[in-house]
Amino acid sequence: MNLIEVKDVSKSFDDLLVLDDISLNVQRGECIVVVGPSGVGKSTLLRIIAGLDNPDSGTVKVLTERISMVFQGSALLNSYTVGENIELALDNHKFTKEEKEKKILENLKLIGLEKYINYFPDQLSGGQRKRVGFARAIASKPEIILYDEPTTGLDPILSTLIEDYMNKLSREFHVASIIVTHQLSTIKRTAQRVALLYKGKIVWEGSPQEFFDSNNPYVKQFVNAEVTGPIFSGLLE
Amino acid sequence: MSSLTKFGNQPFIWLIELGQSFKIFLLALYVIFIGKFAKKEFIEQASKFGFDTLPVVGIVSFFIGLALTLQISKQLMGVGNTSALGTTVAVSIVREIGPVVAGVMIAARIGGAMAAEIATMSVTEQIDALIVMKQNPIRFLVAPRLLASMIMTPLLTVFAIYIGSIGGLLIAITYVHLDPYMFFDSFRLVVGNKDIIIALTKALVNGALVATLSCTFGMETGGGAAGVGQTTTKSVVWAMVGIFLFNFLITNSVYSVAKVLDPAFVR
Repeated sequence: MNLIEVKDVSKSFDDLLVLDDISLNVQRGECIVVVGPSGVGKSTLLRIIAGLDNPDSGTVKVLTERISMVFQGSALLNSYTVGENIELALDNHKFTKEEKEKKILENLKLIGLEKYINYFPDQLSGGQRKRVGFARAIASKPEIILYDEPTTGLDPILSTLIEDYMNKLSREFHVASIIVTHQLSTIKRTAQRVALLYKGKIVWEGSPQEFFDSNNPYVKQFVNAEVTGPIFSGLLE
Repeated sequence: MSSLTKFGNQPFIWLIELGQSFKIFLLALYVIFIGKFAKKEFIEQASKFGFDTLPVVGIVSFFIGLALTLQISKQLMGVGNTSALGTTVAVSIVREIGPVVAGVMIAARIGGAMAAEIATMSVTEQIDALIVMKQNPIRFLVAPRLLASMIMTPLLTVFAIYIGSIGGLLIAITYVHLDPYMFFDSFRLVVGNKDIIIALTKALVNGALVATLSCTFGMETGGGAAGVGQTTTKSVVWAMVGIFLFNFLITNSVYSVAKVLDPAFVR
């Protein structure tokens, strides 16, 4: 069952076409990783699915209200403590005060930051803020999670911890996930399907195994981080 | 869009922005009315008003009181009527100087900071995060600031009036050698409840203007750090223009109404 249906979506900013007739479906429990060079519209696609931006044309159907997002820069509210930031995600659910406190602590334990419950975001490091952003996104037990570069800036061990949990959410709790990332390790550990976005279009789509074995010039260049290739020439234009 | 079309649309952009600000103001008022605003944020904002603005409002009002009384006393000494000093200073400070000085200082000190804070939240996706969590940014950001501003601006205006009057008194005693009792007695004679109501109405409007414009412009900010800077300047400039405009409109309306209902008030 599709939880997200994106059909023929286009989006421009001024004269710049960022998304060009994109279609993408995500099923319950499926984890899709969207990759591509910087500035090709990956985050815009997530923002449109989250309802933060409107497409110029095309339709987006999100078949649940229970959607959350991990933002690239963590997007924690600076005037709220770590605990209060997570509580915001639980506010619209029918939890008692005790249940909320329990859930906040559970989620902070998961990312190893339970001691920081009363800290403000500007007292944390970038990596710690990122982990709190992750904890906030999963706290309300959403059915869809959109991840915008969830492991960027984290050390390899913490990245693995977060990736393993993202995997668990998809496989055990059947959360539909779209992950935007540049990290090949995230693709290896979490993806069930990979889509390569370039110049506003999905130029390649397949399984992670196919992605790493592909002879597609776009995919090859991206995987091998080659300076020359269709992506680089495109950027030079 | 051609540059000509863009240019052609420019005159209407400020109208759209004003309309958007008014809509946000009404929504925030509704949230305040039903009591669904973030209380913690309100307390934080209200205390910011006190700590950040009280000293600067006091200092500026004191010096304006000194300068204003000095100017007026020079004119009155020329015509040999220094007994009118208290009444003239009282009317100027209570009806005009107090509300305007407090409003302008709040726009510069608090409005600028408020716009920069919300603009930063906007460019760092904090407002987007609230929306994704189904939290209403009006409830969390605008309503607490609007309420804090509408409560604290009148209080700061009363403070500005007192400190400005003390400045005036100092000049009256040291320069004009006026009896302090006589100075304040003329204050008491000329300043009535209506004057206080006018001053507080102006203060309330100023408070609403500063908070609404800062929040609206802040929430619409894009373009990173440069966008934050532009928003801060824009909100301070617009708030100050609004303060002077509404100050004139309220004064003019009061005199127009008073001419009919209470001619003594106009004299």
